[in-house]
Amino acid sequence: MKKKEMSLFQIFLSALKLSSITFGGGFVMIGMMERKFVQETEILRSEEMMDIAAIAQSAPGAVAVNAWILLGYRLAGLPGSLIATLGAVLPPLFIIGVLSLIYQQFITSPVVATIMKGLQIGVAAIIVDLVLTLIQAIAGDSRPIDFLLAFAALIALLQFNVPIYMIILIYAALGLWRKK
Amino acid sequence: MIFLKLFFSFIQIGLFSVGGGYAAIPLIKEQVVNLHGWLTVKEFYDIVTIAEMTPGPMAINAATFVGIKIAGIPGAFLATFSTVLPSIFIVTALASLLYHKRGPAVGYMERVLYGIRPAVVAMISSAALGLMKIALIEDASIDFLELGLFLLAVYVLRKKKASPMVILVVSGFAFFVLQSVLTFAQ
Repeated sequence: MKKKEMSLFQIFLSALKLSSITFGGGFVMIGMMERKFVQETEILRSEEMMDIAAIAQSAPGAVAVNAWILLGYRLAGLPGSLIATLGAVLPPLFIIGVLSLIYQQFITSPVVATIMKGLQIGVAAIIVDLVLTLIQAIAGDSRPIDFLLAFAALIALLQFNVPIYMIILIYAALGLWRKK
Repeated sequence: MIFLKLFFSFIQIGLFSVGGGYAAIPLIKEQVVNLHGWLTVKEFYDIVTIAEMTPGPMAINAATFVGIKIAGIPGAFLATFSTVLPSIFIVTALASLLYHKRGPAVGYMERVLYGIRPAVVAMISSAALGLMKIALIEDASIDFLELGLFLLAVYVLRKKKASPMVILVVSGFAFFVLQSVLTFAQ
């Protein structure tokens, strides 16, 4: 493997750039990283990228930010992590900052409110599609206990207002206790 | 005091959001709508919608929006910082394990991940129910135009594997046109 170094400034710029153009969440970000750092520049091996993807998804927090923390660490240690995090959060901060000012101005407009409603119908459809995919995946694993556990968590959440951190902690403990 | 509240609230969001942006929706709602009343239910789902159309993670987008609304630009920076703070500690710790010594920690993490999977499914389902409620119900009854568009969108997503961005733009535009035609016809 060729050893290539990246300066902190270059790491910051890459995070800033990918974070500004990546729509569609953490998994898309990992795909973009793979293209840039594995295929185009050959700074990382493909297995390294897979490790980053696995840990970014399992650790708490936003997947895209986690992926940048890991990639920054791999490229330049702790300073790399911090500068990559900064680069990853600045674009959404800026974009949402501007949009929230516009939002306060325009949400009272009936035209904007109607388009917003249509977009919300789209978002609802996207998440329902994801839920159906997840249910199919559980059914494919044919472990009925997972269905029951998911249903129990949903009831706890909706009917009994159990705080989410408690559900997470209980299920994490169950995961440690259950055999795979 | 408002800064302290923002800090502790978004640190919890950063710490307990597992399973990606959609699973974070009920957690963020619990904090910013139910507990603190910083946003109305409508504003909250508007942000979810805006977050879906812009780059950047759901939690970061929500942090920025709430921060600005509650405490201006410093609030936005503080809330965003609080959201990523737990990740910085946890993920750099995991990174040093990964790059320096592969210990049993990775095995434990896999089991935790496996254990919380049903909870993640429940959280995403809860987000889906919340969004359906806000998107399809008007004045306590189902709006059939909205329901029709929604079912069509789900069908196209599942059968034609359409890209979510296309679905968003088309449903936003289509609903506006249909609604305008209906209003005009009445």
